[in-house]
Amino acid sequence: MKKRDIIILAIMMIIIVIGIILASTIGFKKQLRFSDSQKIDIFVGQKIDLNKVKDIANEAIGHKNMVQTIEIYGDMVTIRAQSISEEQKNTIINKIKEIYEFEQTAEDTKIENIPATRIRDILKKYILPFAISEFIILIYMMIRYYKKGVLKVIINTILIPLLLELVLLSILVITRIPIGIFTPSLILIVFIISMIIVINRTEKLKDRKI
Amino acid sequence: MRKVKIITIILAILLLSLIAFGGIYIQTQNRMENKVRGYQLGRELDSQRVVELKVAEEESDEENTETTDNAETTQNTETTESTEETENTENAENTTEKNEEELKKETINNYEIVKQTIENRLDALNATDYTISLNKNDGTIRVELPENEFTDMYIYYLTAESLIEIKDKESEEVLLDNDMIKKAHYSYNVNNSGSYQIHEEIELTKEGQAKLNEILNNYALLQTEIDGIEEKEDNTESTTENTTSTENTTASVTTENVQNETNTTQTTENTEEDNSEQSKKIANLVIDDTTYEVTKIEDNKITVQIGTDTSNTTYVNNYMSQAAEIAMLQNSGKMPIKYETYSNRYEYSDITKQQIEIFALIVLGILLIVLIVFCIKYKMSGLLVSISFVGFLAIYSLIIRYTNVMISIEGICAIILIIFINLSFNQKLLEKTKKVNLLNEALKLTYKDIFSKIVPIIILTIVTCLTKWDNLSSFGMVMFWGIVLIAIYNLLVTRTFLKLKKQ
Repeated sequence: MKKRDIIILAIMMIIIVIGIILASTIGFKKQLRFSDSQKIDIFVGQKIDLNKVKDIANEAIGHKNMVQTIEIYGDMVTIRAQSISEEQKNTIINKIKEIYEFEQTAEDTKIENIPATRIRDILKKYILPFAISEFIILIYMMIRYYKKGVLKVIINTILIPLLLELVLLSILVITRIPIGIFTPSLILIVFIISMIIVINRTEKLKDRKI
Repeated sequence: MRKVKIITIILAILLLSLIAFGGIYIQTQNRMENKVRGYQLGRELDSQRVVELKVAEEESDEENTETTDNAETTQNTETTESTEETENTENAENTTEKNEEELKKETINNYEIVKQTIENRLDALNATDYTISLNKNDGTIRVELPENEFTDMYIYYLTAESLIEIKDKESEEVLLDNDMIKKAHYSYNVNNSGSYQIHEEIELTKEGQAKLNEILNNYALLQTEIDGIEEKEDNTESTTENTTSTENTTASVTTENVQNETNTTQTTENTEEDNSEQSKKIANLVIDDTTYEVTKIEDNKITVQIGTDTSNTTYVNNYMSQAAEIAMLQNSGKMPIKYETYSNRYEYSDITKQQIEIFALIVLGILLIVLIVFCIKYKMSGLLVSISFVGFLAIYSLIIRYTNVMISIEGICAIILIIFINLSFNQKLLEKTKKVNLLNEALKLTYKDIFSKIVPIIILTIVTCLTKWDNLSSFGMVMFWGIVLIAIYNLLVTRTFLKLKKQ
């Protein structure tokens, strides 16, 4: 093993260890759509300019919010945030009332709780396809590079993607980047990059003497 | 001639690009309509159905009464104990706390079971994408589903119930309840007369089997048995009617009694058997308040006939779907708590089309810079390859739209990957044509180099193509068409460009 590889491996291990500690203590941060939150639904009764409502929501409850139109005609809006106070609710509705005319009052509007989605529920559908792919790739690598030594090839093909995925998850937990709809894509990209690294590394391996 | 060929190809690429990125607008009903198909977006990018399920009011009332009962009883005990020693009251408080904790744990566990059952049902119905979240405090379950022709069916089955019971025919007393049912399978067969018979095979738990044996001692459950009893009942009714009418004439036939006496010893045995059968009550197998005929009972399985019909395929299909529904609801697990739909809403994505367009423009901007670098570095060859790349993008976008590939966030990630792979293919090809003067040789080397390296990606692509999950299959399909196009397009267009340039 080269000195450079050892340094890289050591850095990766440190990141992973820190990641494991943080994940087991404070856990991953989740995107708003997957975390415990509150929402208010406002029936405006006419086509809504989402940008205007978003500005009002940003002003009242800060930038960490989700504004979505609901129902087929897009005449109803739902505002979701980590927590919405009565005061914030009143402000939002009164400000929207300044732009649109509608009947719903702040008193009529109910703050509703939205339950969090577990990370394993988000990611579990990816596990089986990844496992099957990894298994087939492993067989392919063993057949294609059998001259390089089966054990080395197996270790490379299993360890490199595993380490890189762990590093990715550790970086997510360390940097507090929220787990959300973009996480599976990141995992896919890292898996593909790791596979390219595996191929390059395996090709560089010397043929085993028979 | 060479220039004409190059210009023709460039014009063709330009036309394709205009169609793909601009569209074909035709006037229909006083407005211009784009005849080029639009992109099919996934639920995170377009819209989804959000269903909120809450514990049914009856259930929550029952829970409340249970807890209030507990509280009342504990309060009573506390008042009586207040006259006694104070240590006892402390113990009582601890036990009530423990009871409350246990009750809470049990209800949370029940919520989890319901959530799991819903997941099993959606899996059994082949739902291609969903997210389920549970509020452990009040049991609210939020289900997010993609909007398609099956969404309403999925929503119906989220809270649907299927109760299989064995009941006493007369008293309606439940002899065997749904909790004793383990599994259900449906099947059909065709008899000699050509009629289709749809059956439901109900498998019982060990407890259910024991209960069934107990029931069978006192009750007739098989249809043949029930028919026999009912027939005999009919006969006895008719014979009693006959005897009352013939009572007046019996005096003249007293001599026959002497002969009958000799036969009485033989008939007593038969009458005893008849009596035991007659003493058996009738039990019915009821599924969702409908009584079905039990055709077979063996081991721990009860076979029920759901329906039979000869030629009417609609009826046969209805029976089949009814049987399939019962099996699916039974096999997906039992809901310990009754839930009802609280809200069912169509929700647009918070990612707006404007945001997607901005992202696409950023990607195209980066791509443009890379292509300009190609033009500077490889001059004429670089320019031709860049034009070819634009054509690639145009065809790729049309393929994605006309093959009904759904674009999710993973799909967008696949598009970026394909762009990257094609860029590196073109860069390698340009590099190799510079080094090896023979174009075909350079092309062969580039294909070998790139495609031997992306075999693991191809494997991942095929596997994800075959998954049922929308997001992953979107990634797989986008990658699949991209890889196929890279292989064909570069051979046909990029190679031709470079060949013409060499000439």
